Amino acid sequence: MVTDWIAGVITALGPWFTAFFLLCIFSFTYKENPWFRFAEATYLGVATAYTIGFNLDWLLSQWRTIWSLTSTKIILFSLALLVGLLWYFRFSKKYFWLYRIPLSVAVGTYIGLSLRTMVFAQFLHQIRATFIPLVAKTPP
Amino acid sequence: MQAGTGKKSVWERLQEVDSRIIYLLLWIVILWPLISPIGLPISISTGTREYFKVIDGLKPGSKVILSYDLSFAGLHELGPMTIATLHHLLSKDVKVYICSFWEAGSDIAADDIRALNPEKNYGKVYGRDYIHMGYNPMREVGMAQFASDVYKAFPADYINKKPLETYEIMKGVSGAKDFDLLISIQSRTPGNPEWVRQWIAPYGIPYILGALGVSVPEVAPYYNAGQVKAFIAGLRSAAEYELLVGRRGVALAQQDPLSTTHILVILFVVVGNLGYFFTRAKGKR
Repeated sequence: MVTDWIAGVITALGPWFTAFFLLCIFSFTYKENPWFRFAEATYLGVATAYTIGFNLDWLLSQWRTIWSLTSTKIILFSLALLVGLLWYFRFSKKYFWLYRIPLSVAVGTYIGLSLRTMVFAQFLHQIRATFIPLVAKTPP
Repeated sequence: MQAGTGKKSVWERLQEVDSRIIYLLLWIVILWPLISPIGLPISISTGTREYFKVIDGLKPGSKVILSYDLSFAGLHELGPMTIATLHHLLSKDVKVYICSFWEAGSDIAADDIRALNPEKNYGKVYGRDYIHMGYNPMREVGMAQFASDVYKAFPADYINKKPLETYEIMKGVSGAKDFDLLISIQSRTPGNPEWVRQWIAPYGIPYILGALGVSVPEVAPYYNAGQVKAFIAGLRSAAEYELLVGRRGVALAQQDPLSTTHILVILFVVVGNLGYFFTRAKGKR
């Protein structure tokens, strides 16, 4: 299979690429240089592409397995996508306000979820743990 | 400077050593023991023993979650403890549910599975004894979703992309209450506070974790409060754990360079201080 062959080549070349980029990055300890900048830019590009690709893949798997099954779910999924796309109005001066909608949804969801148990998990439980006996017990 | 001559004394020069010389010395003391290991002895700390005991004391058939909450940047420190933990779990008669709330975590887990080869080396079957449930990008929200409904958080597995409910290992599993132990190997956020808020406080699941060395002050209050049963942190703990599980790996190999580097840094501190005091004493005269 061609894909297996490509995977084999990539696996074989992997350590060499790792060594090369490692030396490029560590060359910064000597001084700033084009090799370091090349490795830095490559790292950022790969990391960004990896994150976007991975999250898109997750979105597709959600669509295939849950949200494409009924018309109600399709509508809900489309609505969620539309709200998600509003994030990009962050880059528009005119429609900047639209960006606040997904932001408020995200912040509200996170605060709502974490506050639900934060009082117990990170407040009461932590305080209770400090209530230790004033008199030390001697082991039997 | 010495009056009149313009030449710097040894102590003055020691305080102005070019940082590149220091980097070069560091390279040497790291590479030398990696190429030719010394095998300096290491002791095993109480924390690592506790972590080991929690996993070792699992009853047959226990359902254990191993969450790969780490990135490639944290892999050098967390990778060894992750693979050692997976090895320990696969060596026991327990069901292992692998998941991740960090993008890279899923790929790192898949690499670990490939490296350990559970079918060949442990006699385990994918989908019956262990499963890779994949990645959920929703961080704390995803953890809460996972606790209430596994199948919504992870609709399909990571290896075969098949619906999770089609696997034998998922029988009788619906949410957090069905698991016996949660293990999270974590870089930072989402990590310990999120797990404690969404899993430990509401469901009381026994929980242990592996963290970066710098995370110890953050994890310690949770450990003292009993929310974290045990934890290991940093490469040193990973090396101790490798010794306990009997699988010598990368962490143990890196203990010699860690020691030699520390010796060099101590030497730098001593020489720097001596230089400072001698220069000051000369200035006073």
